[in-house]
Amino acid sequence: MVQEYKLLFAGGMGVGKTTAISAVSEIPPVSTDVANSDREAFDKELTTVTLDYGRITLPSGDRLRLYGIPGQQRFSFMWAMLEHGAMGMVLLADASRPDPFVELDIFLKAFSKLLRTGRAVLGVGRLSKRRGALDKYVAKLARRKIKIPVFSVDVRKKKDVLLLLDALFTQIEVLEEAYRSGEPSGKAAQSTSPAGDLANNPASDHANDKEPAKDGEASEKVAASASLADDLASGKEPPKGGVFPGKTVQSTNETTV
Amino acid sequence: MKPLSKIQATALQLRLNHCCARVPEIRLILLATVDGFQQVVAGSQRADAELPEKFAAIASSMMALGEAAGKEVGSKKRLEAVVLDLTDLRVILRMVGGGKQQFVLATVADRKVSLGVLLKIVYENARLLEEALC
Repeated sequence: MVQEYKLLFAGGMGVGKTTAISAVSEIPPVSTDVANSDREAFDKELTTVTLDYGRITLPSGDRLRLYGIPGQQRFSFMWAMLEHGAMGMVLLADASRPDPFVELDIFLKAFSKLLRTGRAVLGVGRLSKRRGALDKYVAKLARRKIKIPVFSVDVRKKKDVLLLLDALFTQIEVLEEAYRSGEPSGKAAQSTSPAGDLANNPASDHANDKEPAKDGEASEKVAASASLADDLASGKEPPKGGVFPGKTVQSTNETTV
Repeated sequence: MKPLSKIQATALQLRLNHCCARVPEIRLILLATVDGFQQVVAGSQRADAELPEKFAAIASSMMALGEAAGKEVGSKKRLEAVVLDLTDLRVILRMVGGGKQQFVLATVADRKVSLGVLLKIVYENARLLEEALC
């Protein structure tokens, strides 16, 4: 039976949610972009005021429905509506902002329930090449007791967005497997999820992406999820529901657990 | 996107106040930018401190969603209005202006006013506002 999975793309204005969905969607995305009148706050011509919507059909026929939130806080009434029923979340941040952590914090609070299940990944754009630049983001998440993988990405690149989705599904499947088996995360690595389908999708650039990521691409990865599956296995915090189709994971991601 | 000048805002405020005074069933008339910033507000509900600000964002979202829905079902023209027919209230959202000055005109009224009459009021207000914007 064909399954439908709802995924959320969240983050502040201009972090690239619309761009990310456009990069991977197989259909022309539904866009609700309008002229931005607040150019002082953010110098961007258009801004999303309701949602973005895109879709990916996996070889199995299963579908990923991609929903992007409007990033400005005055549209927060849409956030909870769009979060409802989401299996996981791609949270995006922009490191080039004057104070990226203040903005990130808004979304960490607003989506804390979903984030604390671990069914999420954080993609940081425009990150400096300095070693350890991602560590601050991992530390920020840790302070909020959120254990999710963090990646440096350029969401204009399809394979970077697919990397985030791969990581998200890998994260979800490890959590799910750990919850089912009650085993530590390391032993749950051979489980199943749409992640394999995503990597095997012939329409996906990522399917042939066997080379290690190059400089400037989604190369720097930190898995902050080290002990999450173990926490779940020990009964600390069971994940929310979700069913996963049977495909072997062939993600090209490095996994640090 | 060019926001309203002070002169424009004052002129529009007077027109909307006049309309609310003439039709007491109208609870709120609000002009918002297409990206959800409140510009001008009139009516008995304007005193509710947070309502106009929140409603401006919601109105722009609904208008954009209406536009997206129209495109999906094959409309080649721009969206003119969105009508919400609630059991006690009617809400009409109308696109006003064009080019660099495009706004959403949101009108909330009791159901005592028929939809036809309310649409007439809204379209008349939109015409007057567009004249004032020129």
